[in-house]
Amino acid sequence: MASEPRDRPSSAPEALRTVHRSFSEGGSEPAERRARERVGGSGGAKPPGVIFEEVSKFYGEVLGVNRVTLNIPPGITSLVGPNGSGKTTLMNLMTGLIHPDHGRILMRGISPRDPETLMRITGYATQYDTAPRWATGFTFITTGLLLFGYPRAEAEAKAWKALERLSLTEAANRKVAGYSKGMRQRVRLAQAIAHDPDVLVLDEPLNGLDPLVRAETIALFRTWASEGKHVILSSHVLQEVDLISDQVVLIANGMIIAEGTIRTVREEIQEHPSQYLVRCRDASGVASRLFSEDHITEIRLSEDRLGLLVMTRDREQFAQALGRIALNGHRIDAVVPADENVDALYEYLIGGE
Amino acid sequence: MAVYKRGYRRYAGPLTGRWTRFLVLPRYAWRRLYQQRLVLLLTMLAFLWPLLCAGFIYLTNHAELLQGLDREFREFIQVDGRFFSIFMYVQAGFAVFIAALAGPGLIAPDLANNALPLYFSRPLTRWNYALARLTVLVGMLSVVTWIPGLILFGLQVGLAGGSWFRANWTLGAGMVVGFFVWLLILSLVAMASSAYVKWRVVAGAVSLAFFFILSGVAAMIDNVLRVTWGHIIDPAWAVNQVWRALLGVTPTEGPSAGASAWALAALVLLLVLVIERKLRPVEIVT
Amino acid sequence: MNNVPVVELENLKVKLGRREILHGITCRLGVSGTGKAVGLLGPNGAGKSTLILTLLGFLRPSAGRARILGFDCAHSMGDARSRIGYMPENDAFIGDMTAVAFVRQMAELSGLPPEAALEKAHQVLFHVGLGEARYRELRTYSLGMKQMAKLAQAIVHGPELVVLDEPTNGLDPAARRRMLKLIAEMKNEQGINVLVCSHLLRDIEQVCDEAVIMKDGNIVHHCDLEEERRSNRSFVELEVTGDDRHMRAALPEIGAEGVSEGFGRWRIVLPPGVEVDALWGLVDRQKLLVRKLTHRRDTLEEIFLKAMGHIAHTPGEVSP
Repeated sequence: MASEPRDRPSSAPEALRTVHRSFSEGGSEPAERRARERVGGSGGAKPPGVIFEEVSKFYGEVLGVNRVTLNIPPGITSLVGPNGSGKTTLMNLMTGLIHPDHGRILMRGISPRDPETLMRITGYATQYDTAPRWATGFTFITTGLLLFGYPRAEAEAKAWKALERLSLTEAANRKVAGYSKGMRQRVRLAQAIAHDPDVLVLDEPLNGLDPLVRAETIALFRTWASEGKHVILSSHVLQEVDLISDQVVLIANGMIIAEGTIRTVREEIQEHPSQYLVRCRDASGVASRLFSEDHITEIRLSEDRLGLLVMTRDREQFAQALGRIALNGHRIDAVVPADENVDALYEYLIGGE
Repeated sequence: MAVYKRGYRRYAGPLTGRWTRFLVLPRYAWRRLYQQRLVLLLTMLAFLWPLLCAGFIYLTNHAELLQGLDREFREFIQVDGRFFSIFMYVQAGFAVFIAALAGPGLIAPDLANNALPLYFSRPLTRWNYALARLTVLVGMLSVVTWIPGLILFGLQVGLAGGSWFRANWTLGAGMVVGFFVWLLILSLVAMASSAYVKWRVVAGAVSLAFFFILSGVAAMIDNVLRVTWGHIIDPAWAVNQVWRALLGVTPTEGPSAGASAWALAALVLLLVLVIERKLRPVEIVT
Repeated sequence: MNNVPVVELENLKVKLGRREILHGITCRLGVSGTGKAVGLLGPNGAGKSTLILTLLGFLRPSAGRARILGFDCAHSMGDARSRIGYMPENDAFIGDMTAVAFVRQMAELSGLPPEAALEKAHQVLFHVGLGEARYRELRTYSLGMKQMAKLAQAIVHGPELVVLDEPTNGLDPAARRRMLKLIAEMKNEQGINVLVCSHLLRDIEQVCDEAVIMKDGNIVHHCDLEEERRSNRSFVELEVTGDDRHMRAALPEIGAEGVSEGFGRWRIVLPPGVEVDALWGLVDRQKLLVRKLTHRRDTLEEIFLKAMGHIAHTPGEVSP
């Protein structure tokens, strides 16, 4: 498999929380871009994004979201934030279940105030257990599809297909009351995808799923994302968010703290130098060599004296310096960027409370 | 100067015995219930009638105070089975209302948020739990039923002397047993409605309605089918019949005390089974 | 009481209704009193909850035997339960009690005398981070706080073994980190044995010393995570910046083999005798910069997938 030159990140720093950021390039993965162009069809028109313009929502006194502006391109986007930060409010706003006090929302060009049109292209899976316990999985999904106006035969076929995709065919004819937690989660997902929507809004979709089903569901998300659909999900498991998301939106206290691909967001946080964990034989020797470099801001020795935590302002210069040190007889066993993940972003921007 | 690193340390001391542990649930429940004003008020009101009865006992034992009254009337106002049965009747009524107030909070809060596994993962069996909850109600109801009853009995014995006691000790015993039967049924009905109904007010109403409805059905059966055995399904009536037998008062028309006792036993068994179904740490749905 | 295993199963079979869920499991897990954590993993329907419920004495075995801390689960659980703490997966609390009253009552039910129960309730609530909110009723609590209250009632009576079913369920990242830290503290500093059941393999990896993988009512793999961490089977993950088209061809120069994962990421196996220094030299000769270089062991995820039969070999098993 031929490897391709990695895209260099944009070197022009922009202020964080930039409102008018253009996302038309989306992620840095070339495969994604190609897929998107394919879907765009003639003229290369890409499907419009999910757009929020200065949206606010308050429940009486209680804050939902406060002046949110977003432009989410197709692909897998993760909403990350503490509980009560506004994720569910955003999702309810997207699907038109509630309307904003101020601002405008456009879901691929359709306004949530037009639910007839919007709900045909949107599937929503909430985090609450709402499937009626007396129904079987199959009846639940079929009934939902009948409400869309599909004739019975087609509704049943689509329901079956959705259940197949989520590996629920065995339990499809059992009552939901007898389902385990993971199965109830899957049946919720199945009803969200049954009508083949273009936009999927999923609130903690992997909650309660075992590792195998998690992996299968993630593969499903990837498939949809590559078809140019929007998959917007919220999650607390940051390592997973790292692995599966094209974009990430960090939200706290009803306000958007950061949005974009993980790398670009990280690069924009200028005030925090990059962190690297280095494992080596002669920690103090390596440390003293690194100190003479002027891009290094801080070095911490680990307790076992076999490692360092290095903070540097310039990644490239650091990589060069480390290469030089390694070739000069200092054995460097490992070097790992310590903070290019959503966990670190979360820590920096939202904090541990 | 010293710096103390005080954090959480595992408990390594002695454990309490079974009876202390058994009383934990009742203690917490009693504390919570008696903090409610309505419960306190009702309990205090329930002492009015015993006070009146005490006054009555005092009067009957001091004949000089009744000088001015008819001889027939004086014979009428004796402390005997009929007296105690009237006493029991009124107190039993108060007991129903206290049970309806205190009952709903017994089991419903534990079921509402799945706290049962937390209980049963401790050294507490289902029967202990049920018995402990029962004790809460039985305890509260005893305070307004047989305890004042016994005090009245004691007062009478004190004033009337040993001979009266030897002739009438069955009254005292009968009263206690009679009250117990009623308490048991009340408590079980309150527990059952608390186990099945989530909302407090509704659970209280259900436990009250239980008696009224059964009483109504009994009357209906009697009138429609023109029989007298319909009353057996009315627990209040059945209990009353049993009391009359215990206290030596003439029974009302209808099924005998023995038959009533059996009917009550069947009711108790039914209630126990119904409650047992709800007290499972694990709900199995196949 | 030296070598009493925490959990001991002998051909254990358990039925739920008419279906047999556990098909004759035999194993020994953990050693009582050593302050280690055992992870219980498996797909849904594998029988993990059934196993936990049987160990707690809520379900009876239809055949075979189960022992927890040396006590027979079907017969002698009475006193054993003072030594066990349980944190169920679902919501479990009493809405109209304050956290202090709730934890106190649970402590007393486990056998603590009233004064000690009150003391420990406060200590434990502070320890789990519910300091300020402890006088509020539990129904006003957020999900994360309810989880912490659940944990508090599980440890307040100082049990020897704590059974945690999905402890990080629904917790936001900060709360999750705190929960995992608390679990690590419990076993490291207090010497409490822990049995954790979770779907998040990373949590188990972080906290547990042993892991048991179940599938379809049987135990399919029992791995000692501590040993895995110490093992020598490893391979190198390398990420470089620059044009790495010729890396593949150049690797044999130093006697190594590797496979590219795209975007500059490589997975390289260094045979014995070949040191990391050689790799640095190679990278320099290719005019590349090293962005990341680690020695990776099989993650629990890979071990799990192999146990499930989804992959034939874990990456660490593939010989150079």
